[in-house]
Amino acid sequence: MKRINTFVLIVLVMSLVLSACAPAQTPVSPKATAAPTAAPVKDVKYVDWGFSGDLQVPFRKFLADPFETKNAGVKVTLLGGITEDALSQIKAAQGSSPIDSIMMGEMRYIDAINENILAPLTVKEVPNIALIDADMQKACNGYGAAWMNQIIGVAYNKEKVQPPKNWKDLWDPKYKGQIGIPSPAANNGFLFMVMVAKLFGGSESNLDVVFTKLDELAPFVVAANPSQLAQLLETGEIGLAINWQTQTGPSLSKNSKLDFIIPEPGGAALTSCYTVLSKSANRELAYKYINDSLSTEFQSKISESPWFFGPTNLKAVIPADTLKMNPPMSDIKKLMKFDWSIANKVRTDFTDKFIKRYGK
Amino acid sequence: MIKRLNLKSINLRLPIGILPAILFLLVLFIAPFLTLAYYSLLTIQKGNIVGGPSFDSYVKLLSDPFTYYLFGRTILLSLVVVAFCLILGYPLAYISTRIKSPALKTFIMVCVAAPLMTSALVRTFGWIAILGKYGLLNNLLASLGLTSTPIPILFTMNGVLIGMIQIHLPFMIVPLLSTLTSLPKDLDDAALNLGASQWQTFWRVIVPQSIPGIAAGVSLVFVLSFTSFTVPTLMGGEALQIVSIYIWNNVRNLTWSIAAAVSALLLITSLTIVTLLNLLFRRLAPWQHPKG
Repeated sequence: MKRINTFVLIVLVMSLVLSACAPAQTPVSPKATAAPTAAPVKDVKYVDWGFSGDLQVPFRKFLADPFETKNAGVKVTLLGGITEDALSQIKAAQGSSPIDSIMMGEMRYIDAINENILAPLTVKEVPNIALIDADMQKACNGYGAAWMNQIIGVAYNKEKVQPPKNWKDLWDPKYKGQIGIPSPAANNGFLFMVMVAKLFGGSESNLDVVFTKLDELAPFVVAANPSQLAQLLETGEIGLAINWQTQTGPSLSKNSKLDFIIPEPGGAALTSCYTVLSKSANRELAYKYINDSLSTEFQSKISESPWFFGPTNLKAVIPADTLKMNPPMSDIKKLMKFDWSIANKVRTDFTDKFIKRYGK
Repeated sequence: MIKRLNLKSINLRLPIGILPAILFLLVLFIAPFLTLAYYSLLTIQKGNIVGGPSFDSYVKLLSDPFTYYLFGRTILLSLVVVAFCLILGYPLAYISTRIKSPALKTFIMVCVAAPLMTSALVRTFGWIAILGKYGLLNNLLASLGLTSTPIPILFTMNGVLIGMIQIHLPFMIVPLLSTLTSLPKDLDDAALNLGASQWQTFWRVIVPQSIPGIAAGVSLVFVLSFTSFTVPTLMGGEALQIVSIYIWNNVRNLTWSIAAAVSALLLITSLTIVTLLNLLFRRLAPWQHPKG
């Protein structure tokens, strides 16, 4: 049997190990990056990060499939999950992420711009931005298109609980043990907690009152993400869920015992920005894809039952029977909005404190 | 006389056939772990390296009482799972080696192996359907008149335990089966002929001989339970934090240096406990490791 010099073998293998161990630094320069050379439009794999499960259906049916038909050779892959998971993967990939476009709430959008993750995106690249409500587009100006509004409200089981008329009614003893809330790691969870802070005398930078109020709200179930929260409500584990109107829509279509309400003084809204990754090799395709997502046809379609996405296109037609889930744009502008540039600074520490306080 | 290590007598040459296994371990285990260890020494905020290397992450973790609570809870949970898997798995393994019918033996083998053929995620969702407030178990108890209100099992430690015990039971049974099957067939007869009762034969002859299988099963189930993620997340929720869920939350929170440090501590703790368990089993069965 052939034998080799063990010393040489060890040196070669350690070289391999050490080269694998060297991590690349993630650049934090705010300078814009030039578009990488686009891949030829033939057998192109385009990856979009958005929703999963039932909520991915309209994107596949009304956006991705027609896009593939219009752009021969392009194959659209839809990935789903909360923005935090996507950002973790993008950062971990250190410039090699396969994701081309991603929709993200204002909170993470601000962080992503600061870290040079996004490519510039204006009406020049995406003409349909001209159809969007200008006030809503302000949230995404420069690096994204405001394509949708999500609103948090209370999804509830009509047979188990009476709906709360006001957010502060959640602290009524009759709801004890019935409430499910999302983790602050998810956007709807953090939005709910910032709203609680504002309702009870706190602010975006001072969330301490949230812990006092959550201690009074306990016991409650904490779900990792909006999908899990919707499942808990559907299976009867909880009677009330603080969730997006979009996440609740499919649940309502499956279970007639469920309903949705936006308690007074109104829901809290988050504008979602559709963005292109600065290191995407399919930047031009991404601009076209996002342009299609802002079309009147697509925006009208996704506002329908059972999805209830809040459109931003001024010409989108919101069916009258969905207005409870999807208020008109004029009403959305009156909903609670927060300064995420301030709240983002405390989010990491707040989330860690939340985990340690309620994870026992 | 003090024994000294004679380096010249150690043969350092390795056959080339071992190279693929070494490369596999180095590239897919050692290299990622060293990268993880390096990340744990950095200061990372929002996924960006802003400082280091230093031991700041470890100092922060080891000076936080929550870390000890987290590891203590996870260790206790894992040991309880091990105990239940041993109590449930040993009799099943023992009986299946004593059954004479080949058909029944095969049936038991299939029942033991069947859960391993489906993903843990599918099995977990199955448990959610069974243990939910309006799931199979609560409906059965209510229909029998044993309960008037649903018993909360999901999102409690009991629910997590049930799920983990069922999913990890095959990993206890398989090593036990292997050891019990390898015991001489006439060992029982020899003990009985020498005057031992059935119970004495089992407790003082068979069980000690099966300690290597017990040790392997205990180690395997402990490591799997200690690092389990799917079942605790889906059946326990965010309010029942264990080490794996805390690591995931730190990854999502983009505090990667903390996630890496907790991961390193997880590995060290796991290795330490498994080593201690194996030392314990060596003491219980010294004849399995003769000196000289």
